[in-house]
Amino acid sequence: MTSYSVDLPRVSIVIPNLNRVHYLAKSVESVLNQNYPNLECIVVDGGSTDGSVEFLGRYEERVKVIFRPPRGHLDAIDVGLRSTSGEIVAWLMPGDIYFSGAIQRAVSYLHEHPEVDVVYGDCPHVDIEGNMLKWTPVRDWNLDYAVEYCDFMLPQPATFIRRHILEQVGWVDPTIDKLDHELWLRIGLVGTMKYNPQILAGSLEHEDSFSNTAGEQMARSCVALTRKFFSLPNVPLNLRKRRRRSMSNAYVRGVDYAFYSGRHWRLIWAYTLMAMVWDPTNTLEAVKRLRAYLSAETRSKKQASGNRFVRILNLFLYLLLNPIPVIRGAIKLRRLVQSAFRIRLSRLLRSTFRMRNVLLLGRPIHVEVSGVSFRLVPKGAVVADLWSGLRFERHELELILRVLQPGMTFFDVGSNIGLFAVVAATKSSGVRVYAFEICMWTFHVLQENIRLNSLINVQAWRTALGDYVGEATLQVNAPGKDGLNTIGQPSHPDSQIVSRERVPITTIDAFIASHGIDQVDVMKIDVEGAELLVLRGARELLRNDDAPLILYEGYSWCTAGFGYHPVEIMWSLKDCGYELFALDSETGQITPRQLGHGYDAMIVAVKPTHPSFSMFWREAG
Amino acid sequence: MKVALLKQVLDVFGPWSSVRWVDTDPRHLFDRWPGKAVLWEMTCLLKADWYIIPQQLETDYTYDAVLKHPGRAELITKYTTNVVVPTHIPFEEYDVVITFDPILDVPECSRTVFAYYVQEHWDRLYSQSLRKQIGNYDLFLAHMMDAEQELSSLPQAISFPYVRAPDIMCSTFQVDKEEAVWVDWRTLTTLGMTELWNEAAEAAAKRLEELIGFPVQYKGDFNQSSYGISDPPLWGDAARYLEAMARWKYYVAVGRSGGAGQGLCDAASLGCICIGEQDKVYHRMVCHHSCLCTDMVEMPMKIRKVISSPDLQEEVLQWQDQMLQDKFLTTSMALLKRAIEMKRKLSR
Repeated sequence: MTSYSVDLPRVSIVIPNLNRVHYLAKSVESVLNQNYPNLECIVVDGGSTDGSVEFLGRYEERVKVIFRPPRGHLDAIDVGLRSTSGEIVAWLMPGDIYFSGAIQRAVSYLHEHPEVDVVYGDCPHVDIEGNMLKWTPVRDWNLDYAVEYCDFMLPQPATFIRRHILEQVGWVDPTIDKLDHELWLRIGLVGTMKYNPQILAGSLEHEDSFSNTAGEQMARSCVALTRKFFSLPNVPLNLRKRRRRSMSNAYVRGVDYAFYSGRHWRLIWAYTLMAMVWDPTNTLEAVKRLRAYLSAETRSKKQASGNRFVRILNLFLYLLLNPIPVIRGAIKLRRLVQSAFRIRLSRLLRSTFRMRNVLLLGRPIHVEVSGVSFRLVPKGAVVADLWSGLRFERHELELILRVLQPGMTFFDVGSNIGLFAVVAATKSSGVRVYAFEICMWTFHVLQENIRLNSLINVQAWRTALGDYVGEATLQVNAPGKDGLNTIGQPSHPDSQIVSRERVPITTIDAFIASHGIDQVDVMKIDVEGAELLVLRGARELLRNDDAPLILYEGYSWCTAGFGYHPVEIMWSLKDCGYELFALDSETGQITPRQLGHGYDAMIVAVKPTHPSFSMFWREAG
Repeated sequence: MKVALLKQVLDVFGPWSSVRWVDTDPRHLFDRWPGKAVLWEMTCLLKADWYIIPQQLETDYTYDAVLKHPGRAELITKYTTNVVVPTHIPFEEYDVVITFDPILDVPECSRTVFAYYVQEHWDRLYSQSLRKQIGNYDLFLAHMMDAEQELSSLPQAISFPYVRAPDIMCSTFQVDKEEAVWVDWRTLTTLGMTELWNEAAEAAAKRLEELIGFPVQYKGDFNQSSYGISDPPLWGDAARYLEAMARWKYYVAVGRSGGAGQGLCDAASLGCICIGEQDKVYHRMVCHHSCLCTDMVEMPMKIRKVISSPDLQEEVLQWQDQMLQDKFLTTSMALLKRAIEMKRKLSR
């Protein structure tokens, strides 16, 4: 604390009181215990009968008591302040206290800052024993904010005012409940108010404090004080321009008081309306506030009796305020319901797949795609999905059928049970099909399907295709999840590895060379993330002008198991002169692969020299 | 122009010790600087004093970078020195005070311009600040360049990048360039499908080298943990990173969208030919159109194109220098000067 040697200014503290002797005692004692030598303590009593007078009698020498008719604490503060003789004045409500040395610190600050008219410090909430309960941070004074939002409360108990500024602005106005706020606004126009970050006072937190019992008056006073402020002649132009918004916000602030201090619903409605009338651009804020209080009311009423009107109104306001999310939500919900219903039905059907096989003694399933009919033995996840309608790569199959012509060679890499291989071979006996599947069990099903459809133009190979020649380890999933088998790290969330198989692995280039295959026209690759490896092993083939059209799935959840990004597949293909198109699996639409598609997609890669390139080019627009 | 930079103890970027410019130099700044070099050029350009203040505010960024990792706050506190209480900082000595996040109770009648960046654009504070700057600050410096371009009044949110000082960068890390592509670690972690640096990222570098047929260089070990925090901190790693990057002629950063693209500006300041991606705001500001990829698919083709054309390389370097000078230096400094003038007029 700074010391100085001039005469200490007189400080006057006013305490209004009416039958609050217990609280009064705490306040008076905190003032007298300040040990400030030039102190005046004035209690304005409204005719207490609870022993306040007797208590004050004990301090006859040190406390001046003014008796008044019981006209309320506002009147008492006004009378008390006008009766003071100090150069610095302040007031405390009964129960509010000063902490030790508070007055000295305030006086020191004002001495060191002669330009400051009002100084205020920190003011935590305290209990009746003076223990700190909570502490609301105090900000620097901002007149613009205080006017525009009717919401800048200086911590009144910790505020000390120079007498001359009070005289200049005309003391407090006891007709306005928020008399302190109103006073700050007037002082703010002509004087300087500063925050001194020191704990000076404590504000008593008790149930019957003035601020909690007079919500309606407080609400009205928000409007009154703002109106009064704008009637002052010295309001600067920049603030005058914000009059309508300020008045509107004063009504909104009034709504807060009307709700929190008694749920005065008529006032809440009226003030919301007035807020909108004063500034229509503030309508959203006003309606949001109203809705928040309606929600709170609905919750509390729900617990009690349930007010249907309020709930309906609340819902209406919500819809009014949030039309776009509501419409979007409704569309999404409809899709979800439809899709969930379809998926649920399909799942239900899929669960009966085994029963179907038992009942029909394993009768093959008949499938037709683009006029091509074929049969599949009822084994494995792919057929179960297909039979129940859960997943059927119809558009992918149709695409392969469209591009395959008699005399062409089709590589089905990751053939599984041979859906693509069988379709391709069934379409024309002139198409040569090489189907590659590495899982032992699935490979046997593939062979069964070839036999079932009496296909002689399909060769099934139990070998993995990758970027080296040798052996690899296949992670085999549980029955029903054989579509997730992989030679990489299992990365699909549904993956459930039950065994491992050592399998031979070779490259496409090596396979072609060793089997004397002179041309591959179409290739489908579905190898659970090993696509890049397959392509790296086919560099020679892919660099040729007559390189095959390639259909592949490039999904990051698959490629993560091999530690690479799907864009690397695209780089690999672009490097060989391929153009990339995206196939929409839902609609079958072909589009150019472009920015915004992301990298996870069903991709058709085709070179301009391929016979079907012009078809894709046209379709992609 | 006298500038102070302020950050909180738990802010991981920048130095971990208060330091006045007169007591240090560009090289020695790195002695207490364990993280990315992103604020280093700004410090050197503005000859700014750094103040580390006690934690005032916990933001989304604080949570993501520090609080969600057990023990990290204690570690940072342990290694942070010269922490200064805000009341002991002589703010009035400075023309501009820039804080990282709105961490000060700004005095109302000051002649000093108080400005703040929000450290991460995904922090809620950033979008809040775009709507209305927080507290009594004069400027919110929107580093994602998504606010007003012109300074019309105070307070205001203004597009303002992390300023750059290519001359200081080049003189500090001056080496002859060698023929190789420096690939940003985030590009490699994107390709390796990993969040942090590991073998998958190194394997991705090898594949990329094979694909483009040109040597690839990188440095990712700093990013084996999030925000590169380790015990003890990697003091000076940012300098080693810049030193390593400065050696190579080309720089590539694509993938992992979201950030502003600061790394590419570091490289451009060092005189590397930069290949970036259109979704990053600083890449759009710095990159020559021949070097700006619409998405990752274009990247190898752009690299090959620029490598094969010495004329294009010359053009790209000139373009980058011009852009750095215009957008990261001249315009930004003019904005600050104007803000100082306006503040002084207001506080009269």
